Amino acid sequence: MEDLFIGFTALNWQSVIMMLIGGVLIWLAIAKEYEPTLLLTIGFGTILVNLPMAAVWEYEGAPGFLKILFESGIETELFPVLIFIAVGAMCDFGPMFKNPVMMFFGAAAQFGIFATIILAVFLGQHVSFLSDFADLKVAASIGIIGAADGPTSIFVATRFAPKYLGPISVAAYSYMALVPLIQPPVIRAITSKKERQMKMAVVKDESVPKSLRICFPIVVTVIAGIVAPISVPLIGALMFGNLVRECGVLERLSLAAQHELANLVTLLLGITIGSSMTADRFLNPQTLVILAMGLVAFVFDTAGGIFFAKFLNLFLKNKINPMVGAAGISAFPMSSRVIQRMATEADPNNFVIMQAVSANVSGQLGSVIAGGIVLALVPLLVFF
Amino acid sequence: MNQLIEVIRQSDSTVGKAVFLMICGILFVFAVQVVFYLTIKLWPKKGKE
Repeated sequence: MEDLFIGFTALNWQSVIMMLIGGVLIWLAIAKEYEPTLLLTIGFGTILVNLPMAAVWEYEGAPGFLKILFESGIETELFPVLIFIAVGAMCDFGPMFKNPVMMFFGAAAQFGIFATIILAVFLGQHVSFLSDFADLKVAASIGIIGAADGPTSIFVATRFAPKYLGPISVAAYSYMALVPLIQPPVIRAITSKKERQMKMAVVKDESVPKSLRICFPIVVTVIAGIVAPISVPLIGALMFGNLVRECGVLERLSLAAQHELANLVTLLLGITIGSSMTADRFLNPQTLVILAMGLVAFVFDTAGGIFFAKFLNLFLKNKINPMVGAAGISAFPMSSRVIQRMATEADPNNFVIMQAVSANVSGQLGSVIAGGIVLALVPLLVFF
Repeated sequence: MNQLIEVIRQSDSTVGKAVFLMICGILFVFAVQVVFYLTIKLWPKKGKE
Protein backbone atom coordinates (compact mmCIF):
# COMPACT_ATOMS: atom_id res chain seq x y z
CA MET A 1 0.00 0.00 0.00
CA GLU A 2 2.88 2.33 0.84
CA ASP A 3 4.25 1.86 -2.67
CA LEU A 4 0.92 3.00 -4.08
CA PHE A 5 1.16 6.33 -2.27
CA ILE A 6 4.90 6.77 -2.64
CA GLY A 7 4.32 10.09 -4.39
CA PHE A 8 2.63 11.45 -1.26
CA THR A 9 5.09 10.01 1.22
CA ALA A 10 8.12 11.23 -0.75
CA LEU A 11 6.81 14.79 -0.91
CA ASN A 12 8.53 17.25 1.43
CA TRP A 13 8.08 20.95 2.16
CA GLN A 14 11.27 21.94 0.39
CA SER A 15 10.03 20.41 -2.86
CA VAL A 16 6.68 22.13 -2.44
CA ILE A 17 8.43 25.51 -2.05
CA MET A 18 10.50 24.84 -5.15
CA MET A 19 7.38 23.96 -7.12
CA LEU A 20 5.84 27.23 -5.92
CA ILE A 21 8.96 29.07 -7.11
CA GLY A 22 8.54 27.32 -10.46
CA GLY A 23 4.94 28.53 -10.46
CA VAL A 24 6.03 32.11 -9.75
CA LEU A 25 8.47 31.99 -12.70
CA ILE A 26 5.66 30.73 -14.95
CA TRP A 27 3.38 33.51 -13.64
CA LEU A 28 6.06 36.15 -14.33
CA ALA A 29 6.47 34.74 -17.84
CA ILE A 30 2.75 34.73 -18.67
CA ALA A 31 1.24 37.56 -16.65
CA LYS A 32 4.16 40.01 -16.76
CA GLU A 33 5.76 38.77 -19.99
CA TYR A 34 9.22 38.85 -18.37
CA GLU A 35 11.46 36.84 -20.77
CA PRO A 36 8.63 34.30 -21.24
CA THR A 37 10.61 31.92 -23.43
CA LEU A 38 13.12 31.35 -20.68
CA LEU A 39 11.24 31.92 -17.44
CA LEU A 40 8.33 29.68 -18.44
CA THR A 41 10.57 26.82 -19.46
CA ILE A 42 12.82 27.23 -16.42
CA GLY A 43 9.73 27.36 -14.20
CA PHE A 44 8.28 24.16 -15.61
CA GLY A 45 11.65 22.42 -15.41
CA THR A 46 11.78 23.42 -11.74
CA ILE A 47 8.39 21.83 -11.11
CA LEU A 48 9.35 18.66 -12.96
CA VAL A 49 12.57 18.06 -11.08
CA ASN A 50 11.02 18.71 -7.66
CA LEU A 51 8.18 16.25 -8.05
CA PRO A 52 8.47 13.22 -5.76
CA MET A 53 11.10 10.72 -6.96
CA ALA A 54 12.22 13.21 -9.67
CA ALA A 55 11.82 10.56 -12.36
CA VAL A 56 12.67 13.13 -15.03
CA TRP A 57 16.16 13.23 -13.54
CA GLU A 58 16.82 9.65 -12.54
CA TYR A 59 14.71 6.63 -11.76
CA GLU A 60 15.98 3.31 -10.43
CA GLY A 61 19.48 4.14 -11.60
CA ALA A 62 18.46 5.00 -15.17
CA PRO A 63 18.89 8.62 -16.26
CA GLY A 64 15.74 10.58 -17.01
CA PHE A 65 15.42 12.84 -20.03
CA LEU A 66 16.38 16.00 -18.15
CA LYS A 67 19.57 14.42 -16.82
CA ILE A 68 20.46 13.30 -20.35
CA LEU A 69 19.81 16.82 -21.66
CA PHE A 70 21.79 18.35 -18.79
CA GLU A 71 24.80 16.11 -19.31
CA SER A 72 24.80 16.46 -23.06
CA GLY A 73 23.73 20.08 -23.44
CA ILE A 74 24.81 22.04 -20.37
CA GLU A 75 27.82 20.18 -19.00
CA THR A 76 29.30 20.05 -22.49
CA GLU A 77 28.41 23.77 -22.97
CA LEU A 78 26.68 22.83 -26.22
CA PHE A 79 23.37 24.63 -25.61
CA PRO A 80 24.86 28.07 -24.81
CA VAL A 81 27.09 27.80 -27.87
CA LEU A 82 24.16 26.90 -30.12
CA ILE A 83 22.17 29.79 -28.65
CA PHE A 84 25.06 32.07 -29.54
CA ILE A 85 24.87 30.99 -33.20
CA ALA A 86 21.20 31.93 -33.13
CA VAL A 87 21.86 35.24 -31.35
CA GLY A 88 24.60 36.06 -33.86
CA ALA A 89 22.18 35.45 -36.72
CA MET A 90 19.71 37.84 -35.06
CA CYS A 91 22.29 40.56 -34.32
CA ASP A 92 22.33 43.55 -36.64
CA PHE A 93 25.53 45.48 -35.96
CA GLY A 94 24.41 48.16 -38.44
CA PRO A 95 23.66 50.85 -35.80
CA MET A 96 27.09 50.25 -34.27
CA PHE A 97 28.82 50.61 -37.65
CA LYS A 98 27.04 53.92 -38.22
CA ASN A 99 28.06 55.32 -34.85
CA PRO A 100 31.17 53.39 -33.77
CA VAL A 101 32.15 55.76 -30.96
CA MET A 102 29.28 54.23 -29.00
CA MET A 103 31.27 50.99 -28.88
CA PHE A 104 33.13 52.31 -25.86
CA PHE A 105 29.94 52.32 -23.82
CA GLY A 106 29.64 48.63 -24.62
CA ALA A 107 32.93 48.31 -22.75
CA ALA A 108 32.26 50.77 -19.90
CA ALA A 109 28.95 49.16 -19.02
CA GLN A 110 30.72 45.89 -18.24
CA PHE A 111 32.08 47.53 -15.07
CA GLY A 112 29.36 45.83 -13.04
CA ILE A 113 30.81 42.40 -13.78
CA PHE A 114 34.17 43.20 -12.24
CA ALA A 115 32.87 45.32 -9.36
CA THR A 116 30.51 42.50 -8.38
CA ILE A 117 33.33 39.97 -8.48
CA ILE A 118 35.26 42.08 -5.94
CA LEU A 119 32.14 42.42 -3.80
CA ALA A 120 31.48 38.68 -3.94
CA VAL A 121 35.04 37.86 -2.89
CA PHE A 122 34.84 40.42 -0.07
CA LEU A 123 31.57 38.94 1.20
CA GLY A 124 33.00 35.44 0.87
CA GLN A 125 35.86 36.36 3.14
CA HIS A 126 33.79 38.14 5.77
CA VAL A 127 30.48 36.27 5.95
CA SER A 128 30.78 32.68 7.11
CA PHE A 129 27.83 31.21 5.19
CA LEU A 130 29.11 32.81 1.97
CA SER A 131 32.59 31.29 2.23
CA ASP A 132 32.14 29.66 -1.21
CA PHE A 133 32.20 33.12 -2.77
CA ALA A 134 35.78 33.69 -1.64
CA ASP A 135 36.74 31.33 -4.46
CA LEU A 136 37.51 33.58 -7.44
CA LYS A 137 35.84 31.12 -9.83
CA VAL A 138 32.54 31.28 -7.94
CA ALA A 139 32.80 35.06 -7.57
CA ALA A 140 33.46 35.40 -11.31
CA SER A 141 30.38 33.30 -12.09
CA ILE A 142 28.26 35.58 -9.91
CA GLY A 143 29.80 38.74 -11.36
CA ILE A 144 29.11 37.60 -14.90
CA ILE A 145 25.38 38.09 -14.25
CA GLY A 146 26.33 41.71 -14.94
CA ALA A 147 27.02 40.77 -18.54
CA ALA A 148 23.22 40.94 -18.88
CA ASP A 149 23.59 38.06 -21.26
CA GLY A 150 22.02 34.70 -20.36
CA PRO A 151 24.14 32.35 -22.50
CA THR A 152 27.40 33.99 -21.34
CA SER A 153 26.32 33.61 -17.70
CA ILE A 154 25.43 29.96 -18.28
CA PHE A 155 28.68 29.30 -20.10
CA VAL A 156 30.86 30.82 -17.36
CA ALA A 157 28.85 29.30 -14.49
CA THR A 158 28.98 25.84 -16.08
CA ARG A 159 32.74 26.09 -16.24
CA PHE A 160 33.48 27.78 -12.90
CA ALA A 161 30.56 27.16 -10.54
CA PRO A 162 28.15 24.45 -11.78
CA LYS A 163 26.70 24.24 -8.26
CA TYR A 164 25.21 27.73 -8.65
CA LEU A 165 24.12 27.41 -12.28
CA GLY A 166 20.39 27.53 -11.42
CA PRO A 167 20.30 30.78 -9.41
CA ILE A 168 22.84 32.48 -11.70
CA SER A 169 20.76 31.68 -14.80
CA VAL A 170 17.53 32.76 -13.18
CA ALA A 171 19.12 36.00 -11.97
CA ALA A 172 20.63 36.76 -15.40
CA TYR A 173 17.37 36.26 -17.29
CA SER A 174 15.13 37.84 -14.67
CA TYR A 175 17.14 41.04 -14.38
CA MET A 176 17.41 41.33 -18.18
CA ALA A 177 13.63 41.36 -18.23
CA LEU A 178 13.54 43.80 -15.33
CA VAL A 179 15.84 46.38 -16.96
CA PRO A 180 12.90 48.82 -17.39
CA LEU A 181 12.47 48.75 -13.60
CA ILE A 182 16.15 48.61 -12.57
CA GLN A 183 17.75 51.28 -14.75
CA PRO A 184 15.46 54.35 -14.36
CA PRO A 185 16.01 54.88 -10.60
CA VAL A 186 19.76 54.43 -10.97
CA ILE A 187 19.86 56.87 -13.89
CA ARG A 188 17.75 59.42 -12.00
CA ALA A 189 20.00 59.10 -8.96
CA ILE A 190 23.22 59.92 -10.80
CA THR A 191 22.12 62.32 -13.55
CA SER A 192 20.51 65.73 -13.30
CA LYS A 193 17.40 66.67 -15.27
CA LYS A 194 19.58 69.04 -17.30
CA GLU A 195 21.83 66.14 -18.27
CA ARG A 196 18.86 63.98 -19.22
CA GLN A 197 17.57 66.80 -21.43
CA MET A 198 20.87 67.00 -23.29
CA LYS A 199 20.33 66.72 -27.05
CA MET A 200 22.79 64.89 -29.26
CA ALA A 201 23.86 65.47 -32.85
CA VAL A 202 21.81 63.53 -35.39
CA VAL A 203 23.51 60.34 -36.59
CA LYS A 204 24.13 60.42 -40.34
CA ASP A 205 22.17 57.68 -42.03
CA GLU A 206 25.08 56.38 -44.09
CA SER A 207 24.88 52.96 -45.62
CA VAL A 208 27.35 50.40 -44.34
CA PRO A 209 29.74 48.74 -46.84
CA LYS A 210 28.75 45.14 -47.39
CA SER A 211 32.40 44.13 -47.18
CA LEU A 212 32.53 45.53 -43.62
CA ARG A 213 29.40 43.63 -42.60
CA ILE A 214 30.93 40.40 -43.94
CA CYS A 215 34.49 40.87 -42.71
CA PHE A 216 33.62 42.23 -39.26
CA PRO A 217 32.58 38.86 -37.74
CA ILE A 218 35.75 37.26 -39.11
CA VAL A 219 37.96 40.07 -37.76
CA VAL A 220 36.26 39.90 -34.35
CA THR A 221 36.72 36.13 -34.15
CA VAL A 222 40.40 36.30 -35.10
CA ILE A 223 41.16 39.15 -32.67
CA ALA A 224 39.23 37.50 -29.83
CA GLY A 225 40.93 34.21 -30.62
CA ILE A 226 44.35 35.84 -30.31
CA VAL A 227 43.56 37.96 -27.20
CA ALA A 228 41.63 35.29 -25.31
CA PRO A 229 41.71 31.88 -27.06
CA ILE A 230 39.43 30.33 -24.44
CA SER A 231 36.67 32.76 -25.48
CA VAL A 232 36.46 31.38 -29.02
CA PRO A 233 33.56 28.96 -28.39
CA LEU A 234 31.47 31.97 -27.30
CA ILE A 235 32.60 34.68 -29.69
CA GLY A 236 33.25 32.27 -32.56
CA ALA A 237 29.71 30.91 -32.37
CA LEU A 238 28.20 34.40 -32.12
CA MET A 239 30.22 35.64 -35.09
CA PHE A 240 29.54 32.50 -37.13
CA GLY A 241 25.82 33.19 -36.76
CA ASN A 242 26.40 36.81 -37.75
CA LEU A 243 28.46 35.85 -40.79
CA VAL A 244 25.69 33.51 -41.95
CA ARG A 245 23.29 36.45 -41.62
CA GLU A 246 25.46 39.02 -43.39
CA CYS A 247 27.04 36.97 -46.17
CA GLY A 248 23.91 37.34 -48.28
CA VAL A 249 24.04 33.86 -49.80
CA LEU A 250 22.77 31.78 -46.87
CA GLU A 251 19.41 33.34 -46.23
CA ARG A 252 17.78 29.97 -45.60
CA LEU A 253 20.40 29.03 -42.99
CA SER A 254 20.23 32.49 -41.45
CA LEU A 255 16.48 32.21 -41.04
CA ALA A 256 16.82 28.68 -39.68
CA ALA A 257 19.34 29.91 -37.08
CA GLN A 258 17.11 32.85 -36.14
CA HIS A 259 13.97 30.78 -35.81
CA GLU A 260 14.21 26.99 -35.68
CA LEU A 261 17.60 26.76 -33.97
CA ALA A 262 16.85 29.60 -31.53
CA ASN A 263 13.45 28.19 -30.63
CA LEU A 264 14.53 24.58 -30.27
CA VAL A 265 17.62 25.29 -28.18
CA THR A 266 15.80 27.85 -26.02
CA LEU A 267 13.12 25.26 -25.33
CA LEU A 268 15.66 22.65 -24.26
CA LEU A 269 17.97 25.11 -22.50
CA GLY A 270 15.22 26.55 -20.33
CA ILE A 271 13.76 23.28 -19.15
CA THR A 272 17.24 21.85 -18.55
CA ILE A 273 18.34 24.87 -16.50
CA GLY A 274 15.12 24.42 -14.52
CA SER A 275 16.19 20.87 -13.76
CA SER A 276 19.22 22.20 -11.89
CA MET A 277 16.92 24.01 -9.46
CA THR A 278 16.47 21.30 -6.89
CA ALA A 279 15.58 22.19 -3.31
CA ASP A 280 18.97 21.19 -1.92
CA ARG A 281 20.77 23.46 -4.40
CA PHE A 282 18.37 26.39 -4.44
CA LEU A 283 16.85 26.73 -0.99
CA ASN A 284 19.78 28.23 0.83
CA PRO A 285 20.86 31.72 1.83
CA GLN A 286 23.55 31.77 -0.85
CA THR A 287 20.84 31.75 -3.53
CA LEU A 288 19.24 34.89 -2.10
CA VAL A 289 22.62 36.61 -1.97
CA ILE A 290 23.35 35.59 -5.60
CA LEU A 291 20.01 37.07 -6.68
CA ALA A 292 20.79 40.28 -4.75
CA MET A 293 24.28 40.49 -6.22
CA GLY A 294 22.91 40.08 -9.73
CA LEU A 295 20.86 43.21 -9.09
CA VAL A 296 23.96 44.98 -7.77
CA ALA A 297 25.83 44.00 -10.96
CA PHE A 298 23.13 45.59 -13.14
CA VAL A 299 23.23 48.76 -11.01
CA PHE A 300 27.03 48.97 -11.32
CA ASP A 301 26.78 48.37 -15.09
CA THR A 302 24.34 51.24 -15.48
CA ALA A 303 26.44 53.53 -13.30
CA GLY A 304 29.65 52.53 -15.13
CA GLY A 305 28.21 53.51 -18.50
CA ILE A 306 26.84 56.83 -17.21
CA PHE A 307 30.03 57.88 -15.42
CA PHE A 308 32.07 57.01 -18.50
CA ALA A 309 29.83 59.27 -20.61
CA LYS A 310 30.26 62.07 -18.05
CA PHE A 311 34.01 61.53 -18.17
CA LEU A 312 34.05 61.74 -21.98
CA ASN A 313 31.99 64.93 -21.83
CA LEU A 314 34.90 66.63 -20.05
CA PHE A 315 36.83 66.43 -23.33
CA LEU A 316 34.20 66.36 -26.09
CA LYS A 317 32.89 69.37 -27.98
CA ASN A 318 29.69 67.57 -28.99
CA LYS A 319 28.46 66.38 -25.61
CA ILE A 320 26.92 62.95 -25.08
CA ASN A 321 23.72 62.54 -23.11
CA PRO A 322 25.05 60.54 -20.11
CA MET A 323 21.99 58.30 -20.15
CA VAL A 324 23.22 56.79 -23.41
CA GLY A 325 26.11 55.26 -21.46
CA ALA A 326 23.61 53.17 -19.50
CA ALA A 327 22.47 51.57 -22.78
CA GLY A 328 25.89 49.92 -23.07
CA ILE A 329 24.59 46.84 -21.29
CA SER A 330 23.70 43.82 -23.33
CA ALA A 331 19.96 43.78 -22.63
CA PHE A 332 18.80 44.59 -26.17
CA PRO A 333 16.53 46.37 -27.03
CA MET A 334 15.03 47.00 -23.58
CA SER A 335 17.81 49.26 -22.39
CA SER A 336 17.77 51.59 -25.42
CA ARG A 337 13.98 51.86 -25.13
CA VAL A 338 14.30 52.82 -21.47
CA ILE A 339 16.83 55.53 -22.32
CA GLN A 340 14.65 57.01 -25.07
CA ARG A 341 11.61 56.96 -22.79
CA MET A 342 13.52 58.81 -20.07
CA ALA A 343 14.90 61.31 -22.59
CA THR A 344 11.36 62.01 -23.79
CA GLU A 345 10.19 62.40 -20.18
CA ALA A 346 12.91 65.00 -19.60
CA ASP A 347 12.22 66.79 -22.88
CA PRO A 348 9.52 65.67 -25.33
CA ASN A 349 11.71 66.82 -28.25
CA ASN A 350 14.78 64.86 -27.22
CA PHE A 351 15.63 61.88 -29.45
CA VAL A 352 18.61 59.75 -28.48
CA ILE A 353 17.27 56.41 -29.66
CA MET A 354 19.82 55.99 -32.49
CA GLN A 355 22.76 56.56 -30.18
CA ALA A 356 21.22 54.38 -27.48
CA VAL A 357 20.66 51.51 -29.93
CA SER A 358 24.28 51.80 -31.10
CA ALA A 359 25.51 51.57 -27.50
CA ASN A 360 23.11 48.73 -26.80
CA VAL A 361 24.30 46.67 -29.78
CA SER A 362 27.89 47.37 -28.73
CA GLY A 363 26.97 46.05 -25.30
CA GLN A 364 25.99 42.74 -26.86
CA LEU A 365 29.49 42.46 -28.24
CA GLY A 366 31.16 43.90 -25.13
CA SER A 367 29.45 41.44 -22.80
CA VAL A 368 30.67 38.42 -24.76
CA ILE A 369 34.19 39.85 -24.89
CA ALA A 370 34.10 40.51 -21.14
CA GLY A 371 32.86 36.95 -20.57
CA GLY A 372 35.69 35.63 -22.71
CA ILE A 373 38.25 37.68 -20.82
CA VAL A 374 36.93 36.45 -17.47
CA LEU A 375 37.18 32.89 -18.80
CA ALA A 376 40.75 33.55 -19.89
CA LEU A 377 42.04 35.44 -16.84
CA VAL A 378 40.50 33.61 -13.89
CA PRO A 379 42.30 30.28 -14.53
CA LEU A 380 45.58 32.22 -14.66
CA LEU A 381 44.98 33.68 -11.20
CA VAL A 382 43.89 30.59 -9.27
CA PHE A 383 45.35 27.17 -8.68
CA PHE A 384 43.01 24.51 -10.05
CA MET B 1 53.40 40.32 -17.57
CA ASN B 2 53.92 36.63 -16.87
CA GLN B 3 55.93 37.50 -13.76
CA LEU B 4 53.21 39.87 -12.57
CA ILE B 5 50.53 37.20 -13.06
CA GLU B 6 52.70 34.68 -11.23
CA VAL B 7 53.21 37.06 -8.27
CA ILE B 8 49.47 37.71 -8.07
CA ARG B 9 48.69 34.01 -8.39
CA GLN B 10 51.02 33.23 -5.50
CA SER B 11 49.41 35.95 -3.40
CA ASP B 12 47.00 34.95 -0.62
CA SER B 13 44.74 37.94 -1.19
CA THR B 14 41.73 36.91 -3.27
CA VAL B 15 40.46 40.51 -3.13
CA GLY B 16 43.78 41.55 -4.65
CA LYS B 17 43.29 38.98 -7.40
CA ALA B 18 39.76 40.26 -8.01
CA VAL B 19 41.01 43.85 -8.24
CA PHE B 20 43.69 42.74 -10.71
CA LEU B 21 40.99 40.92 -12.68
CA MET B 22 38.95 44.14 -12.77
CA ILE B 23 41.83 46.30 -13.97
CA CYS B 24 42.99 43.79 -16.59
CA GLY B 25 39.45 42.87 -17.62
CA ILE B 26 38.31 46.46 -18.21
CA LEU B 27 41.57 47.34 -19.98
CA PHE B 28 41.28 44.29 -22.23
CA VAL B 29 37.63 44.96 -23.08
CA PHE B 30 38.44 48.58 -23.95
CA ALA B 31 41.53 47.56 -25.93
CA VAL B 32 39.54 45.07 -27.98
CA GLN B 33 36.78 47.65 -28.58
CA VAL B 34 39.42 50.18 -29.71
CA VAL B 35 40.64 47.66 -32.30
CA PHE B 36 37.07 47.09 -33.51
CA TYR B 37 36.47 50.86 -33.55
CA LEU B 38 39.54 51.43 -35.69
CA THR B 39 38.54 48.56 -37.98
CA ILE B 40 35.16 50.19 -38.59
CA LYS B 41 36.54 53.74 -38.87
CA LEU B 42 39.34 52.84 -41.26
CA TRP B 43 37.27 50.50 -43.41
CA PRO B 44 37.13 51.79 -47.01
CA LYS B 45 33.81 53.48 -47.64
CA LYS B 46 33.65 52.38 -51.27
CA GLY B 47 31.39 49.53 -52.33
CA LYS B 48 28.44 50.54 -50.21
CA GLU B 49 25.33 48.48 -49.90
